[in-house]
Amino acid sequence: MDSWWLEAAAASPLILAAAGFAIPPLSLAIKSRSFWGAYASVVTGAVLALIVGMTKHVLLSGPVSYWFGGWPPPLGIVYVIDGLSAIFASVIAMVIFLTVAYSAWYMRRFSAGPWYYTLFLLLEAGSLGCVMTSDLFNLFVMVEVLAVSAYGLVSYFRSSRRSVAASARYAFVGAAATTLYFIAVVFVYGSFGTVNMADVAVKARGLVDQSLQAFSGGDYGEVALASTVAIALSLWVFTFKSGLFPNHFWLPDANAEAPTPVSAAFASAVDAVGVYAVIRLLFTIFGSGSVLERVGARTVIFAVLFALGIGSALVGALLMNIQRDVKRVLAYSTISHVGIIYMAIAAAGLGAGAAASALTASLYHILTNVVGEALLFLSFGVLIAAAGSRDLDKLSSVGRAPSLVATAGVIVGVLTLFGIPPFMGFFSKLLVFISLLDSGLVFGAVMLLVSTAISLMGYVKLARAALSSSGEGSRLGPALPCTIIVVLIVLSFALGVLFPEVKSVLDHVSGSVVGSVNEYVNALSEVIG
Amino acid sequence: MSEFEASLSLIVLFSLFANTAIALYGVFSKPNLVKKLISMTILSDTANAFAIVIGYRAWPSPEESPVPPVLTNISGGYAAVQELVQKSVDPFPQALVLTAVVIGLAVTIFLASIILHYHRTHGTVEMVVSG
Repeated sequence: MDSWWLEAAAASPLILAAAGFAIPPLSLAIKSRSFWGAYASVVTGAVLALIVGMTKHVLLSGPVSYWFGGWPPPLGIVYVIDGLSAIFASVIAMVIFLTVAYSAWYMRRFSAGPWYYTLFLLLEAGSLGCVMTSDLFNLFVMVEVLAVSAYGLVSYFRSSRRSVAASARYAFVGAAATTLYFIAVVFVYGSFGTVNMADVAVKARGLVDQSLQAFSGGDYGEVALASTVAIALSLWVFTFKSGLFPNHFWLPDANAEAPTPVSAAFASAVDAVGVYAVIRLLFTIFGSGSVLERVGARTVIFAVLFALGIGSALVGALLMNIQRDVKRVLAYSTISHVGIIYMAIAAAGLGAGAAASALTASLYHILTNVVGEALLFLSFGVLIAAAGSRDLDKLSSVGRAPSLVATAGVIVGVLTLFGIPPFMGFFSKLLVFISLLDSGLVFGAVMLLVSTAISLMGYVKLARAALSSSGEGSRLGPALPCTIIVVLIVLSFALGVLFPEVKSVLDHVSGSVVGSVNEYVNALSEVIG
Repeated sequence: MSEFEASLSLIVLFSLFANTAIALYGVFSKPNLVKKLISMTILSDTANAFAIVIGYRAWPSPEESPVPPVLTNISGGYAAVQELVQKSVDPFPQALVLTAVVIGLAVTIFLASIILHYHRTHGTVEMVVSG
């Protein structure tokens, strides 16, 4: 850790939490609603700058680590930011910056207090903490920070029957799920004597790292059984977070009833975090050569994830066709894409030779899902605000187009998610398809095509709703949200056109994730040594 | 470990797992939100008790109970530290449980306030399927 801004970037969850909790007391003095929108935008923008700088540093010169309170790992909480964490952190920071800035426009129409921004900043704190931490128990804490602010944001319109019901359904199952993850952490601690991810990863592979094990000793008891139970419990909570079938039931309600900027942020802040945790657990910690592979549990887990991924892709694609609420269509589209992401992850686990390229495909598809969903939610936010309804039919019967930019955003978003070149969705689906074939999962490749074909009708309905509302006398639309939509359109286009560059960066990242665990562990050993 | 201790720890572990199962049943299948909340607190308390049990070491003998992880004999030097390490319970799960209890408190308060709002908007605390 050689410069202050790297430390600030690693500690950004703390900065965000402090900035978020500063809002309620300060709002007694400062009543202006637009001030708090600007304040939250400045904070998230500064965090985005820090995270992007850190990502560049990590990709060029290897992982960085930051330990809290001077406690050496594995005794204290330590954050290790390797390529995987850095990619997720920058995606989260970017989408949350854009959606918070969008909220400054969107939330003006509601009598919303500044509390909204407290919850939003804590949502970012939780999700950044989840992807940067190298401590399984701190992951539990950060998942709770993320989850409680997500429940709060879903029930933000607390006088609405539907949002309170959606939040109650989400919160009760979510709270039970995170408690089960706590039990999983206890299982890991009981058998490995540590909750540090790097330390567990070393011990799970039967290796010895002197600097870590000087503190935490060896492993105890039935390690294989305990690891299998722990991974089973934690996969349940993280597939719940990422909305994988059959744990997807909360997502349509939550996405539909949350304020639109929050729905746009959910794909990156909640779903992607779940996917990240699964990748971290199944590749870095219990990767190939670990105790899970020796007892054969790893293959079973990936086969289950593969089946659930196919189920999720099909269920999402089928159900998005029959929805009338535009935000529910988008929610089912997310479920379908999460399924495709899990199919790629399963391909990385099952196909031994093609692991790195399959993981690259899943990372690329996560980028597609995050950018595409954010673009569609934010564009439809402008149209919904003009039409005053979320119903697809009512949206398309508005005579005059409220915003040409928002219509263009919907079209680009649909093309991105359906997979039309030159937008990024085409390249990520192509990579997933190739990696499924390379891993010998031909059935999965066929199902990817089938789910894409089924989803066509849903996407056409979205595009039609946006197009038919554009007619004579159309305007460009309000300045702030339209600027954000243009940024996302450019992003979707750039990440597609720069396909070779993006792929080589992601290849580098996934190569180090599926490869040896040394790079991750050395990030700790260097600071200890 | 004597036979008595083995059966004792089996009883403790079995009751913890039975508690978890009952709590999960309550969270998922009771339509009443207050009953769900009660099951939720049972679940998190069970998880906390489980963590404490994991940290409660195999004690030296049935007559001699383990000691708290605090060094009372300061002038004892290295030998005293060694004796403490052999006899004391593991402090780490206790630190975890302390954190988890605080988080559980926050989550419980949130769930209780959601139930309150549910009651205000729906006039009932029974969960209806259609929302």
